[in-house]
Amino acid sequence: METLMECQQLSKHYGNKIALDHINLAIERGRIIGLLGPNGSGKTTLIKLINGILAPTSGNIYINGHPPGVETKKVVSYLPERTYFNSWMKVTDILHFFSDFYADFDSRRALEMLHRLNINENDRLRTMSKGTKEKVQLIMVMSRNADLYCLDEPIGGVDPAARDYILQTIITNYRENATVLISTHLISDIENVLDDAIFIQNGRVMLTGSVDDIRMREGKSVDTLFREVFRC
Amino acid sequence: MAWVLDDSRPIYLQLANKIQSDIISGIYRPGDKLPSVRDLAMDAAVNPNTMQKALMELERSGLIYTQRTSGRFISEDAQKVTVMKENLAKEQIRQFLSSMQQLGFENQEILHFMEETLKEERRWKH
Amino acid sequence: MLGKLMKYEFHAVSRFLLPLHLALILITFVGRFYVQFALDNLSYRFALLHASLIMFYVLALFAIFVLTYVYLYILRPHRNWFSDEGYLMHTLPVTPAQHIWSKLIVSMCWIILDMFLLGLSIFLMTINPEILESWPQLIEMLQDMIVSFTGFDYVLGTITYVLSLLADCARGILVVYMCMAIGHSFNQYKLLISIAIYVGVYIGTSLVNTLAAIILTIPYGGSGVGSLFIISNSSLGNGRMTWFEIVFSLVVAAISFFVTQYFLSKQLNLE
Repeated sequence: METLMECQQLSKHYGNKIALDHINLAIERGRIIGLLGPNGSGKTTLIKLINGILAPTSGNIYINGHPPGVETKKVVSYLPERTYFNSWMKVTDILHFFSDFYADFDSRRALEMLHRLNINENDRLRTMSKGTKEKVQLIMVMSRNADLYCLDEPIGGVDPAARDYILQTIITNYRENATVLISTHLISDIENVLDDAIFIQNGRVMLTGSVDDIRMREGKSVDTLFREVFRC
Repeated sequence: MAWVLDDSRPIYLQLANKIQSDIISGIYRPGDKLPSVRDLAMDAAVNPNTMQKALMELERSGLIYTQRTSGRFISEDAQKVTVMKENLAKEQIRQFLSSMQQLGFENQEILHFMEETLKEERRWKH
Repeated sequence: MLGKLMKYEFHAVSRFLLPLHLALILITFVGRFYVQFALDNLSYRFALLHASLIMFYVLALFAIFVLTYVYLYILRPHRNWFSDEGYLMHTLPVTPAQHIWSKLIVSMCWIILDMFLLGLSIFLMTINPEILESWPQLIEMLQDMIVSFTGFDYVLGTITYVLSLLADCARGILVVYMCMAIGHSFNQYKLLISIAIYVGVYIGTSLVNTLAAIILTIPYGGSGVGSLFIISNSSLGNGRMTWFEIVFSLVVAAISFFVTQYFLSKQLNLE
């Protein structure tokens, strides 16, 4: 089985600023991976490149052997930091939208999760709080049977109960041949859920490894190691 | 609710320990069926892969076994559980003794204090 | 996929345009009854009122026209492609070309509908028995206009005139998309750059049209440069100018399409 995602000497420049510097990475299926780094380290840039909404300056990136495009967008599910739904839409509109465009979308599962949060199909996004809107978006993204889920800062700025809900949703929707890539700088909250960690800083990969290996080797949590590696 | 896990040791070992404790303390009885990996992972708020690793550890030590179509079960070998229980007890006591010795207590003193404390506990219970 | 995109695009823009044009229809109805009433009860006293209401009607029509254009050409694509919604749209398993086609087609449909309704409104407001009587003469006048405009007989002339309107509409829309896409790929001065490119394209296309007018009419005894001063020079050169305009519009439209497509796929710069 081929690697799920692969970066070869991947670079992205914005004028003089180097956002990603010759990144080489390989990601396998069936893992929950943390893309960990301080703000501005290149996490969001990498995720945008994976999702094809940014083009590399040089180097290659492949998902299931294909460069980002229509084929990869069918199997990659993206949760960006911002809400991207039109506020006039009703929940049922969003469900139809996702079902229409994504063959792997599971409406039933989405509805179940929504009902558990007491969200009704006829609710309009406009009437929801910011936190609820974010949960709706998460549910839509996780209800797809995608090969790769990219979650960009899913727990930043979110209360502890919501954070637990988000992590629980990630665990419940876990499938063996899919991978979840979570980009964040709040490591202690998600460490227990991660299989692997990728440390990134200034557009370069500083460290990769499984969380268990890191703990055994270093004798400390990934969060503690992170603070040491990225000390200001 | 998430299980209490500490920061510095590998998570899967801690999970294995917790399940082991549950077996020893009788929460799981010999022959009981364990919940699915996914359910355990959800309960502990950890990655299913990590829980899987923990269960494999336990399988290695013989405390649980897998029946292909029905799932995972606690070993029916009561002997094994008793041995584990003993080992755990001795381990706890050794740790306790080590701490007390570090504080400067002699073994006779330790025994004496233990009896005293146990008597007090009995009194409090009545 | 294109069909689905168009379906959603249609629903989304109709949310705004449908009420707007229903209002147009309403104004037309009310206006017509009012006009009828005013004509039957001519009186000096209400002259000012009549005048202001007519002005209101004209302004309303103008506003609906402008709003429709601005919304379809600029507001909707900008919001859907380049704001937060862009994160949803550009991660759909859909090619940039399909995105452009869906907006182009839906926009053109609504523009045509808008033009039709505006025209219908004016027609309904101004129609009276006298106009109805002279209808055949009006038709003849129209046919003459088409012939003088296009340089063809009125059948071919009507067809080519409609074609040139459509080509022009598509070109207009695609050029705006292109300017937005290019401007948005920059980190600063996005609006300025978009406008600058638009002005540049406008000047460029006008130049080409002028040159064509001169060149194409020379063999026909046209006065060359002098033809610049004739308002409708399409008919000179036996309709060559009309064909040229259609082809040129389509060429500019095609170029804009491909440039927009390139910028949407390789130079997307969502914030």
